[in-house]
Amino acid sequence: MLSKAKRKIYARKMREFWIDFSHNKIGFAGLVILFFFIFAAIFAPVLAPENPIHQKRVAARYAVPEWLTIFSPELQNEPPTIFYPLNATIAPENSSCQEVSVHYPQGSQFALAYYNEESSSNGTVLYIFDFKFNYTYEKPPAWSIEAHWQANFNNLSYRIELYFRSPKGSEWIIWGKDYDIVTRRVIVLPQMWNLRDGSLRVESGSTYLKRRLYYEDFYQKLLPYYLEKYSFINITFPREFVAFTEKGFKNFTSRQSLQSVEDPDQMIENPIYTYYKNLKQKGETNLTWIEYWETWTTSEDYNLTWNTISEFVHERWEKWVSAFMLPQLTVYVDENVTATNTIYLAWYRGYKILGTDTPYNSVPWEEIATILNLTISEELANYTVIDLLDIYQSDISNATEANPAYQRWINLPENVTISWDDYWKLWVDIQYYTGRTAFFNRYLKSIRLGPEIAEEYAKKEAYNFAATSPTPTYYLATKGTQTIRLHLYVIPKGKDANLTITFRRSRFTVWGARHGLLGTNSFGFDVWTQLVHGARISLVVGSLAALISTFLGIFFGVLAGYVGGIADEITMRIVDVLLCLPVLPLLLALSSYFKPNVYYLVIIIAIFGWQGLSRVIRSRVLTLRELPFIESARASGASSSYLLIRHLIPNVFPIAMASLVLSVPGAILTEAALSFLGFGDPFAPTWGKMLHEAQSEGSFHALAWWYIVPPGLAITFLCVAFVFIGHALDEIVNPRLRRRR
Amino acid sequence: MLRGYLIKRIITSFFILWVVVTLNFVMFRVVHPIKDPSALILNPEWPVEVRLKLQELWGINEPLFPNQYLRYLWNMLTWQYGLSFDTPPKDISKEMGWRLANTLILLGTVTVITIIIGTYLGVLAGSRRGKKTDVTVMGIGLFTWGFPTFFFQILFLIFFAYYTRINWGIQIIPFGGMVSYPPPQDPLAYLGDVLWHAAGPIITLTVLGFGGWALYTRNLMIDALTEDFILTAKAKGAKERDVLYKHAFRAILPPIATMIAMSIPGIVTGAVITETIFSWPGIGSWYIDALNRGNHPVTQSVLYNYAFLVILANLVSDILYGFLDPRIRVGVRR
Repeated sequence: MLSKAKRKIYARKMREFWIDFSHNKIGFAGLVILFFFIFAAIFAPVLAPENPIHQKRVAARYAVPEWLTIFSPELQNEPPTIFYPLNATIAPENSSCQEVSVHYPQGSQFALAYYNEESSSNGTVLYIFDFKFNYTYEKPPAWSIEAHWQANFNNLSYRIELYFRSPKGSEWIIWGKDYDIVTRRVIVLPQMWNLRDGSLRVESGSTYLKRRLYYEDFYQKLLPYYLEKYSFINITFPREFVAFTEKGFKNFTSRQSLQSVEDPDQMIENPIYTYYKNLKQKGETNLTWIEYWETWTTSEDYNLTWNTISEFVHERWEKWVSAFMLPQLTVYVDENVTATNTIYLAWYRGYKILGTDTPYNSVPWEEIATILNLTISEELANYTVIDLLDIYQSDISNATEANPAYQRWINLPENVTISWDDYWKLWVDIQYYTGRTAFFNRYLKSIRLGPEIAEEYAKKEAYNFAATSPTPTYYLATKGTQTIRLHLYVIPKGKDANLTITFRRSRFTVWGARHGLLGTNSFGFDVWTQLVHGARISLVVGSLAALISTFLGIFFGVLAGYVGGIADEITMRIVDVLLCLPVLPLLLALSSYFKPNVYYLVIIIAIFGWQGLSRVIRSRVLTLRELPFIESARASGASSSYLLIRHLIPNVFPIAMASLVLSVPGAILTEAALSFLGFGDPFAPTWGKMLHEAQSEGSFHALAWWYIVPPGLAITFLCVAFVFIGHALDEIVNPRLRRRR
Repeated sequence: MLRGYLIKRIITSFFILWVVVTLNFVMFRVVHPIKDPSALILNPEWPVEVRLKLQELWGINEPLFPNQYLRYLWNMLTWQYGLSFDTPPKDISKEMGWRLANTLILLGTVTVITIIIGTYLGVLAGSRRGKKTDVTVMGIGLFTWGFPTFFFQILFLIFFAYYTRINWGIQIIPFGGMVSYPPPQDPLAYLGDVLWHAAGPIITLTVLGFGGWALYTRNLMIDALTEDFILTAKAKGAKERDVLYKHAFRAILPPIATMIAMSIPGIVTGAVITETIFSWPGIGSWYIDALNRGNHPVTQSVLYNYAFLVILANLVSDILYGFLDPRIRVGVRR
């Protein structure tokens, strides 16, 4: 493209420039620092293999870096993170060994089968299993135990208790629960909603399609179907449903409006209750009517921190959602019940909160459609169900690599996602109706639930539970062989009582007090990973934003300076307007109201960043335009584009280069400031986000300097590197600062 | 010439203000997903008539253009910001009044100190180019210019408030806020208490802020010292101090004055992060809090306020520049 002579000239120019630059100590130092960051950014997956967005817990909260043991050797006694698999042995105190057949099927730890032929109950049978492991460190800051088992049983109930036995022999119970009937709740989808004119509206969550489902459908088809299948039904209704009035039915205009229940003149009976009463009188059913009373409170006195979000969501979610979202028909299906089969038919409004011990199956939409003789449309198949788990039960170890942050408090089956738009709509609705931001709702990226949820939950029959010790004072206080003892009580209730229970993948985890190169943050995530991957985002964001804004600056500057006239006026007015907008507050408002994404941020920073450069370039072009060589070139017949490309822009380039390099730290700092305030992209592992988490998670009080100092230092050095380089460039290129005389 | 320039600038400022206000309106009313804020405050069990009445009170049931828009314009221009979305709703103008005062106290002090220190050091460094003073001032200035202020503030806060307190029991800097609780009764002690709370932000901001000023002044000084009139003054036998301050500094005063005027809006808008870290009850932390809680009237009003102040400051700086730059004052013939 270029002639050989030209190439030689450029090569020589580059060499001279490089000599100038490398003699400038400051600039060279900046370049060296920048080189380290680029190295870290490129080799981030090698330096820190863990996925920074979907991090897993690796140690206790605020674990110290490992290399601190050089400076304080007593840290050697603090435990690292250890996983003890729980392999059971039958305890010597086992009371009924002869009835146990314990075997170790492939892939699981152990299984137990119990069978009792007798018709009368023989009383409670107790099986005891011991899980032993050796622990020789100091008390850990946190531990957790997970037990997964799957139980198929009939005609009995069983109880599991977990005890902790110290090496000295003292015993404390960790957890215990009865399992009487396997309650599986089936959610009938999509949601059904009471219209005031006596019909039920069936809506599928995200697309909000409406489908009318009349009471007759419910009374004459759904209810009889389940009544026939199961002979015992519990029906529960929320209070709002009870309080609908006939007058309200007819005057219904806005769906948010509800009649107060304190208006007794206007109460009529719940039509389903009427139906029930008829059935009961005729003796055609042994339904039990249970009314579920919700109480409304409007005192929003919850302090929304990470730790209270679960209670907040627990208590409030149903209320708001049930008021403004759509009711849901929930069908509880009991299998393996004692005397009779039981079905819970709950007319429940809103999203049901699940506990971890109640897994549920969903009735396929096809079944409902068949019963009601409806046709399934594409959209109706997209129903939305959201489960909310208590945040403290976050150590579910069967989470896979796809375990984004929201699964800490929203438990979803694997491979199930909601689209961002659906969730955003949901979140906006909730925010709208409550006036508050559930702070960590931002962390919800994509949850899409579709028909596959039915299959997923149909397969899931395991019970999970996780317990963490609140006060590790007595657990693991004595060094030596620790024992976890499992008591399994089996209470047969009738003939042919049988139980098959399989324990798999259970483990006891000691969360270490020391870990890794830079310790952990308040969630137990590795800090080094975030640091190294943050380099990528900072570099990319800074460079891109600076590049785009420089390009815009050159473009508008040359446009204003060369073309002049009306283009000049318009450009200068635009520059004035943009200069007069407060950048940071506007950025905050924009990212708070619209989806915060790193690349939108780049564009917005670039939009606000080009004015200074354009002014400088404009004045330079104005002076250049009057120079004699331009005039002579034009007299020789040069076109405008020739002048621009060959003369003006190359002359403007040095200033633009210096400005480019000097505007990168501004962009990096803006992005860091935004993330620090909490308005950045919640999924980008930036340094600003680390600082934000440091501040909001209380690492100041914990003096967790390994979480606070590294990202700040990284930002500092990156910005300083660019400033040094830019300053050197400025000195070389800017004629004003050259030494005269 | 001056009058024409001034009139042009004032008209431009009004135009910009109109653009900003419209942008504000579009962003928060038209585009924003919330369409019916009455549900934010009301108990949903109340009858629908209450909600309709509230909507009527707020004027939401009127069409966006032109009724809502004109009313919005009028309210903004007369500083009637209305009520916030808290429980109980607060009058925004009053709330903004005292918060703005808090911010101005803090950042006004910081700006004044920074400018004084920065320009003095810059003049000093510019007059001794290449010598030790210059290199030191430049090095420190460059370093602190690139240093992120919020990180420095976090470090400062952690070390002087948390670390010393937790490890040694001394509280050098308070954890945050403007006054201790309960506030001291004696007015002098109250003032001392406020100063003690303001020490953290003031120290950190001045340490990091003077660098930019020093650099800028130093560059300007170097540029000015190469002018011919300096040589003339020296040849005429003027004292070193006079050369520096009477001649060179006066020559570079216009750009410095413009920079001062340009940094005045920074007094108000630049406080957001500092106030968040030190929990200083000013307008920046109020803005962040309102954004987090969905308190939209507050967000709108504060944003409008910021824009208004920035435009005002730009206008003032332009007027100042018009007075100071003789080319505009007297008029230049093209």
